[in-house]
Amino acid sequence: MCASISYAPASLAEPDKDDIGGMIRPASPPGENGRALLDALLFIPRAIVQVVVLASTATVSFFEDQQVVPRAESLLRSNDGTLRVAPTISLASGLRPDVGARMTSHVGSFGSMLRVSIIDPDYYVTEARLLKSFGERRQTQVIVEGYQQRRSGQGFAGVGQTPESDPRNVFVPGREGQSGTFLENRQRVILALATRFAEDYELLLSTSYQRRTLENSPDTSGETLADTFAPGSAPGANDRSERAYSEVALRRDTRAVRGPPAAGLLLEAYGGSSQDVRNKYAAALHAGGRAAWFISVVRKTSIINPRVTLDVVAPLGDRPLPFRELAYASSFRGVGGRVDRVAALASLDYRWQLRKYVAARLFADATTVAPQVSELKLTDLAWAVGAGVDLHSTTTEIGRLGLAYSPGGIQFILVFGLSDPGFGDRQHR
Amino acid sequence: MILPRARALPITFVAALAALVASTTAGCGRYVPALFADRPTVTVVRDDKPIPVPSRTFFDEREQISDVYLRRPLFDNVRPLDFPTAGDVNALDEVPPSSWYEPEQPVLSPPSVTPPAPPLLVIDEKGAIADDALVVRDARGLRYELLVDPPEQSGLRTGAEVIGGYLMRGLGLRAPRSWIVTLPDAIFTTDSDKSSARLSSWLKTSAALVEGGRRVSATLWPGGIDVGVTRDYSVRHDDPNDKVPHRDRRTLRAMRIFAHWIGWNSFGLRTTRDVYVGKPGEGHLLHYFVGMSQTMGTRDVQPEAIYDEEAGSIGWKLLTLGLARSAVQPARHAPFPSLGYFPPELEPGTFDVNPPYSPFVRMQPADEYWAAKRLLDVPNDVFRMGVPAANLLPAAGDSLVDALQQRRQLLVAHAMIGVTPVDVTASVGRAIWLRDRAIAAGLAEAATTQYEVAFLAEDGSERAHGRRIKAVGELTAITLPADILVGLVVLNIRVVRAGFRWSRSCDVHVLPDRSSARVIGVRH
Repeated sequence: MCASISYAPASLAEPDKDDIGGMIRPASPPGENGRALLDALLFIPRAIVQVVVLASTATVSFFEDQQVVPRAESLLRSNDGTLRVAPTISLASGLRPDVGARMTSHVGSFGSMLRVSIIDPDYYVTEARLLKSFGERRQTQVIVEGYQQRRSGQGFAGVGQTPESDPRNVFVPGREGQSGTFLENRQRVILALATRFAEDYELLLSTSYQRRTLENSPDTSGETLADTFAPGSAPGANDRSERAYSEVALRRDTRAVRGPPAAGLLLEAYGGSSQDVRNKYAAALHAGGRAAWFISVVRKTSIINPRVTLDVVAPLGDRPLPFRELAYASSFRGVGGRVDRVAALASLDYRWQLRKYVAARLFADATTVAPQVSELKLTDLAWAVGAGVDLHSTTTEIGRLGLAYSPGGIQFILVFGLSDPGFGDRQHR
Repeated sequence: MILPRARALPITFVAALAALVASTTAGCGRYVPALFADRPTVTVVRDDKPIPVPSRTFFDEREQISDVYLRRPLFDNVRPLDFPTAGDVNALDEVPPSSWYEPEQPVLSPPSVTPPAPPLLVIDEKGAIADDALVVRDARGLRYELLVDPPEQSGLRTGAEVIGGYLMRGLGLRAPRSWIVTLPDAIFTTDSDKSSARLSSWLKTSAALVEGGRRVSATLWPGGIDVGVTRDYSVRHDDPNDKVPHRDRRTLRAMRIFAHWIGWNSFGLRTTRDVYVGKPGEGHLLHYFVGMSQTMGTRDVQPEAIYDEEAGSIGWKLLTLGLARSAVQPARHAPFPSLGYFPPELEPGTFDVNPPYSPFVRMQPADEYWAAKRLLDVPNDVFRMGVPAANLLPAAGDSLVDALQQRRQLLVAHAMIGVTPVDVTASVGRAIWLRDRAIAAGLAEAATTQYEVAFLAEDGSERAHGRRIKAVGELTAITLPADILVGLVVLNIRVVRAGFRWSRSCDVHVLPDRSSARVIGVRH
């Protein structure tokens, strides 16, 4: 395997005329061939990182999947005047991968984004956003968004914390406790106004129109919603719903930075109402909030974070509410989360800085749902525990690698690109 | 007398694997020297050909972090091969003048380059040298950026801005010129609501006052278009003159030593700038360093001891869940209010910045050696004129000069053990004259110095028996053996001091004929 190196007369192997060093060949220390072989083997992981991971992070420069009005000092670090096309990747075991591309541009106070992710004709997302910022010290943003999604292989197991025993679910005999699969076709337009009216306070106003069509998933047979639930037991199944939703939310976040582990308090509350445009389904009131306390222990950058969230959806009138409009714990990091009119989640995170821009996390989640707040119980909780490492800037999360264990299974999570919406806002759920 | 210490090896499993594979390739164990073309040595790089104005590059923290922590580890840290030698060095292992390096620039400003002339029109733009700099245009239309000092520390930042520029230029690097001036508030004018707001915000800044107004450093922005930060990894794709990847530029790799010398802990991408000079379409880029107000420890003074949250390895923090007590960083005082925390002692080889700067990661002993030579060559005028220009108390200036010189000595001493520190000064007949820079700098003694010389062919085989030659002073001649009077000879020279053999040799590539010898390449 020893490669022979023959002498090439200098006159026959002149280096490029622009080459400063005038070197025909670099020195070769002993063992160079074996090391060159190893270096060649690194080509594939390097290429993957180069192409997939790195560029996707560029997209977090301006957009996030939740309404956040940046602090003034965060704006100093924004990129400007650039147009980028970047891959995105989101992988979680048990779920189909979401790999696509995103084009962003940002000129001064104006930003735009176009995202396309097509796995197959029945599993794709396209999205466009326009954002305009006003003000310097106190930012205000106007955001317009358009969204089209078609996703096959979605599942619904019934309402309630234990759907198999909940009398509101009427299963087709033989399918008790099973999940019905469907394809969801969704179009959405959002108009939002968000302002940071004081140092730690943000006010978020938004309104949206959304059309949602549930169909049988093409790659399933015998497991569709109609195969699983009796007619009327899963409102919205194999039907189209068109809803308008308006919301006002108020957030107080005293953390100096959102990216690294930092002490502070986060309080958020929202209220909104939704109407069925065709008057076929019930209108509903939506309310909820979250409270999170970030407490430093031993080090300033070792943070314990207890957190509770509550979401309530209250249908008005006698008409049914499509099951996709029900509440669920969107921040739950395991499998087996449920839907109902009330969803509650309690979490305990411990996050600590490993080095600048890199942090580790241990977490535990417990969630439950119920028809009413007074009926929330601590029995039959869905829970998850896990650990992970994240990469962040001073203002936001950039990527995350983690494992979560829950009775439903182990979930591996790899996300690079946009930060996880988490609690986010209801418009983006 | 200086002796080498064991150098830290990059510990990666791939490196271990490399060793394993290397052991399977027995028979390839011979060192093969580089091969140089027989052509004139490049003494100046013509990278000033006219180009269109490049697009502006911005520093984006999120992109930089992703790049530094996700991509570069696979290219920089997990790397079985040695890093390539610097790409901007000529055949004699020196950096020729270019848009990156200007060794002959004058210490004093040319007569036409002067402090700002009043009145000063405030411009609504963010400063390049610091976020809180006030940008103004003077009566002649020249752009300056103004900085003030904290109220109780007159001279701290403004002095560093001026002196840092002198030091950088003394090293042959480009830095904007600055002056200390006293400006009354009435000197400023505005022409828009935004510039008025910017001025009033700046005037409200607590600043050190002296008789007649504020003590200010006025930094003249180089006449040209600011096209953003200088990338630290790849070339600028819209600059055809830019041919060497920035990660492999010796001028940037050596900044690791220079930044250590002047205590520039915040050095990074944001302290570099590309400036387009000339008319659009007819100009080219020059590469500058900015932000000297942060040098010489101006941000490191610390009245009380604090916990150092950054200390500790990732593995230890992961294992202890981040609950291990932070290391205590003692208080850091300066001998004068106008100086930062800038001790005369330092530990060479320990300097780094966060986030990592790619040229620093890839710095080689040869780059460090070149940096040391630049440190030794800094003209005394830089100290004689640069420090007084900062208008500090004489005792504070003396203290600063003393710290700079002691730090330089430590850095140079460290660099001289990383390589065999000899340069070719001349070839006379068949004799190659070498200059030992360690002996010349007083860091080693000729009496205890010898050179092991091997005479190699281009394939690494021995052309003549090797010799051991005693140093006779800072200059020592090596005469080619009489039996190798034609064909390429590589003098593989390794210094031995007080019986201790240096680990890294220097190759001198020589093309002899019967009566003379010509040096066509040197690599340390």
